[in-house]
Amino acid sequence: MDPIEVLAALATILAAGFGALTLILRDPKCLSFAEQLALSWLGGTGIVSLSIWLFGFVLSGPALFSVVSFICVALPLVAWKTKGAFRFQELRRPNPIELALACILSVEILAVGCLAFAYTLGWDGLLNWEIKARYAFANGGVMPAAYFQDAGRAFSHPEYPLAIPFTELWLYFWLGEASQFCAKVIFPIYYACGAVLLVAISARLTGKIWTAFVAGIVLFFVPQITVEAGSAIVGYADFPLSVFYLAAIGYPLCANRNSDNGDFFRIYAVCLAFLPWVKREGVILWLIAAIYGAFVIWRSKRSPKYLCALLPGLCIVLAWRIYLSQMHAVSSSDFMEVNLVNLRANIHRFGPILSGFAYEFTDLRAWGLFWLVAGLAGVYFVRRHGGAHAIVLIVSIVAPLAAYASIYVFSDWPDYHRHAGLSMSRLLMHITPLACLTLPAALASLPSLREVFNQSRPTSAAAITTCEEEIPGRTPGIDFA
Amino acid sequence: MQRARAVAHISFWIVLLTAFFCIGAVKVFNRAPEGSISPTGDTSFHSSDSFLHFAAGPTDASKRLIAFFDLAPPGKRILILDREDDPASSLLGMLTAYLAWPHPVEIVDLARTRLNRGEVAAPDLSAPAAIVLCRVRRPAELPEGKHFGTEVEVVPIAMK
Repeated sequence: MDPIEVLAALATILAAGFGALTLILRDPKCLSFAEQLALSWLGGTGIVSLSIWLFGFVLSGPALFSVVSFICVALPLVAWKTKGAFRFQELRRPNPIELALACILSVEILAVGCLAFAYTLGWDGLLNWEIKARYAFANGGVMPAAYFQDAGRAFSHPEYPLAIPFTELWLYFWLGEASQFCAKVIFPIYYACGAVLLVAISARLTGKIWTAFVAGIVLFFVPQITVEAGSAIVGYADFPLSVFYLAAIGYPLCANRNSDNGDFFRIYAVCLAFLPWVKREGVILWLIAAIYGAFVIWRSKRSPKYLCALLPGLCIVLAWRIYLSQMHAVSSSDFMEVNLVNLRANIHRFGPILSGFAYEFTDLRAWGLFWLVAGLAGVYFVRRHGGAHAIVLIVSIVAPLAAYASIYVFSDWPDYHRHAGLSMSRLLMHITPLACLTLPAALASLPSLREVFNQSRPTSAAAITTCEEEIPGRTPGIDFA
Repeated sequence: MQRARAVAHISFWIVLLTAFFCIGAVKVFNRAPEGSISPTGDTSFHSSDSFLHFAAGPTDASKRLIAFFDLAPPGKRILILDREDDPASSLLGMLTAYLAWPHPVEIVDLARTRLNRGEVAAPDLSAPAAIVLCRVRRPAELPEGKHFGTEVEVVPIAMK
């Protein structure tokens, strides 16, 4: 592995995302530097993978690589030309507790990086995702039509979208060879982005930065996220998808609370668009997040033109469907046709599938006490934020589960229990970072020790402090660069 | 009374979070070394080499398998026989298909526990370039092939 080439590949992805982010935001200073980097990575991987796919219709090999590289360099240059010097949120001096928590979070991110390189790619990481990057690389950066039509390779789900494989492909372009080892480098970065965005969104929601750091730290101690099959380190698309979903749901939650010139809504639009491009299940998450976006537009009495934010994702879904049909792509026979006849014939499966999900929630080996903590913290979230915010968060967590449970009613496997059992833990990962958002609400609602032992200060006022009250008129800073 | 409630409230969350972190830490730190496989030699096939080593025994088998499949005429299919009721056999079948690119592959599940994925396409009755046996016994009518570890055998049928 040549570190210079890997760094160049990662830098170009970040540059593309950073340029695009700067261009679409009116005031990038509403985001901290770390937050901008995290969102740049999410946007960058989407832009690079989508560009490779789209330009792959007319170009291949070095020409394709050159055009996409040009886009990566041009975007930040255009942003610099049109918006002037890049601006970042000013850092305030962190207190010792925040500093200590930031150090713990940094160590966790490093540990995830080390684990990713110590582990191999997982089964799906290799045979669903890396396989596409390798075959495309061997074909000059374009997915070979023969792959889509090869029934013998239907096990690798040719119909799955290309955000993850084409991000790996971008590394291969720079390296000049396909490398299963180097491909893993992108996954700890997704973890870091997830942790940073979790802290940033939590801090905005509660106004207390230490509680936000605790939410970020908690993620590492969920075995399903860090070390179990399908975790963030073994090359699966589930954790990256969960990070996009976190940003797509989390930023509009903040947008409702702060006047932000629509910048948070723009971030929502970008993350929403890429949801169906990361994994097939992203379409379900896209639908839920799109309904949520429409709700935010209606509730905040924004212009209906904001509904255009839903179009890019819709275009990606449709374009990918058309592409697959044009390619005559074979699909694996995992699910039967969704119709009333099949629903009536298999409705009896719903109970066992739901009990399977219930069992998964209580699986200490995979989840520890995470769902117990998140469930209890959810009560605090409802009490603290109340009304629309609580409904939105809870629906965004529960609705994907209901949709996933319904899908397995149509499983075509003879043993549908096994089919559902193999994927349940990974499906729950999609909502895990979002569920972490409840924890800061619980911690922020606790009376401080000073309040407990010093009766001179009232506890109730502090217990319901929100970011608006602490820092009127602006979003609290997320000061951990 | 209010102070007692506040102390109880804080204590509850301290206990809950301590239990969460302790259980999580034990699981994560116990599990972390289990899947760890240090990269050796050529890292381009770090994962597939490790899987092949785990399921069939050979080391650095990915490149050797690719080199062997390169001897097959272009466009000629590779027939892979596995058993889907045996995870190791199934994994080897898929890995072989992964490495056999750009040749078309047909995977035949000898256990017949599920719909054979190869049957999705119209049956291809032409002779394959090679037959790969993944943890399945070689039929008597086939000659002995090249072994990749103890569990993978490739029988050339129409190779160059």
